Amino acid sequence: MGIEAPPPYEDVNEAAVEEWKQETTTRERIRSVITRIREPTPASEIAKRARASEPVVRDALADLADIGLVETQSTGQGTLYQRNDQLSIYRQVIDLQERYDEDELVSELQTLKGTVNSFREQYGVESPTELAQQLEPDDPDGWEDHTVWQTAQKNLYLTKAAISFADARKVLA
Amino acid sequence: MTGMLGDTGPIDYDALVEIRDVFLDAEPLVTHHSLDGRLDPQPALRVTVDAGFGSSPCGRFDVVWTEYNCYNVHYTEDDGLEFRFDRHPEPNAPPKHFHEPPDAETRVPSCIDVEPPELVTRAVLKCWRTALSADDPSKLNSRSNPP
Repeated sequence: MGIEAPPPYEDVNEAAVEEWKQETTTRERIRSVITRIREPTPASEIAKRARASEPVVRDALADLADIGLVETQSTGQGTLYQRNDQLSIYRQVIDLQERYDEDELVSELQTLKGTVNSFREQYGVESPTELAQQLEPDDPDGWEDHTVWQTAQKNLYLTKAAISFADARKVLA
Repeated sequence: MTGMLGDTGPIDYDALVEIRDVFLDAEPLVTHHSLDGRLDPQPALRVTVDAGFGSSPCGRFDVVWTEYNCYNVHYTEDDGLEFRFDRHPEPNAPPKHFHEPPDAETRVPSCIDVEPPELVTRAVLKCWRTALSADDPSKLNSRSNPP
């Protein structure tokens, strides 16, 4: 079977960016870029990453700040922007609420606690941070466990928040 | 096993969703896809494609993406051919590196410089399709696709 080649390109990175630009709107790109920015960042840098002009970026970020998705910080060098971490966590909690009922959340919480505890016992340390200190740089199994432990820990917090949120909603809504 | 070394941060589930959507939008040869649930501590994203190198009828991409933008895009075929586009701390290679086919044992600098998940996925798919159209796995890590 013949497979068609993609249109010719000089640099696969530029070709990927061009395709992204064709298939998204400027606003979609700005939103996609800002949701991954965790450090205060100037509009010029966000414009560069989103392949958008700076005035359009400032405008879009102001709207996103109004709805709480973006946090701003005024400095001597101008306004800096980053994603609102609280809203990002909240959205993940809401997603859990939509995908799991309360019994499932409670059962997942037990599983996640079990995963975290088994890593504590296996490595004799309390946290992924402590584990990182004792791992050799070229230990693939150890680093994989480190990633899984971090993920289980994060999911454990999100699940607890989702359960509390469901409880509060029953009483308050 | 992913083979990713170093402090990668937790798995970024939202990035996996984005990557899956790029596969579905950008690559018509995708036949199957599956993504484990958000609470799985090791959620796997698997995407099967309806073409392969040589006589292989199909191939599979397994993707891992983490919150520190480390990634592992691992391609395998049933006959054993495999390669990986990776980004993570690695003592014997630059962070962005490529594990060459046929067995993904070697590590060379990757031709992929872009960093966000939607761009890396598009770049991987272009590299794969370019090499597949020539039926030549040695072209997988080529920066250009000349006319």
